[in-house]
Amino acid sequence: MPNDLPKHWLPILKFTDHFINTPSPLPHELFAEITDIYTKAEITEIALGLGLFHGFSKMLIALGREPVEMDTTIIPTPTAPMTKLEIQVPDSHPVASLLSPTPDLRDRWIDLENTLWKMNNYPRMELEKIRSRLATLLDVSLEYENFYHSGDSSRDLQNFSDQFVFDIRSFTDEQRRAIIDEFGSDGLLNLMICLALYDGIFRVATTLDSWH
Amino acid sequence: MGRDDRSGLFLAYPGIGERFGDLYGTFWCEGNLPHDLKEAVRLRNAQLTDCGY
Repeated sequence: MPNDLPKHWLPILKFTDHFINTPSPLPHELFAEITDIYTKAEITEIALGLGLFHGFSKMLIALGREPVEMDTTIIPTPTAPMTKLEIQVPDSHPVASLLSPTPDLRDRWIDLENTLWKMNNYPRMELEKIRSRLATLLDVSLEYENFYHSGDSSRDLQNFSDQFVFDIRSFTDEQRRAIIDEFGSDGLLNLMICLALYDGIFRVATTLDSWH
Repeated sequence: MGRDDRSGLFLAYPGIGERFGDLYGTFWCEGNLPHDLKEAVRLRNAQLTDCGY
């Protein structure tokens, strides 16, 4: 179907479809097409943004926070932080290496990850297992599996990860109620942020693996 | 969401909302790619994910 999108946007939109529908290393043709126009830093930038869009839009769906109806709403562009972030990023952290072409985004992502693990509203060991299951489902490289490794998931935890990756609309009110009864609303939010953050970044990892 | 959050999602835990907002704001306001391309990608994600936002 003809469209009036700028021609140089098309590789990015193909990348978007691949990232969402078939997260895996880029096919050779798409890799050649996108790297012909965009730098590694630009591709890392859009991949990270897409990881946020995708993970956190699914989080809102899983939380049952979608509006039944919503008028077209103009929302101002988010603002940049006012202060420079000074953060120690460990050399062994695979996401630090992944996002190294975009140092500001790398540091902000690590800062968000660190804050997630300070929430303490959902059992840490269970979140670690969920993260590990997401790494397996999204087939990230061994480097991530080793850094983030945890024991095998129990069936319910595995279900949360599988639902989040494959069938976001399968989360039910009953599941949400059960989590809230046990861990409170903050626990549910903690769980969903974990799922959103790692679903997004592991998709970035598995698609940008095309460079290795 | 984040610092510019209107959903109230992060009210109970502003620290995570601020960090998310810092990352999201950095993505939108810094870097090399134009806003309209980023917005096209955001919309394509919403379309494929069938997200109402």
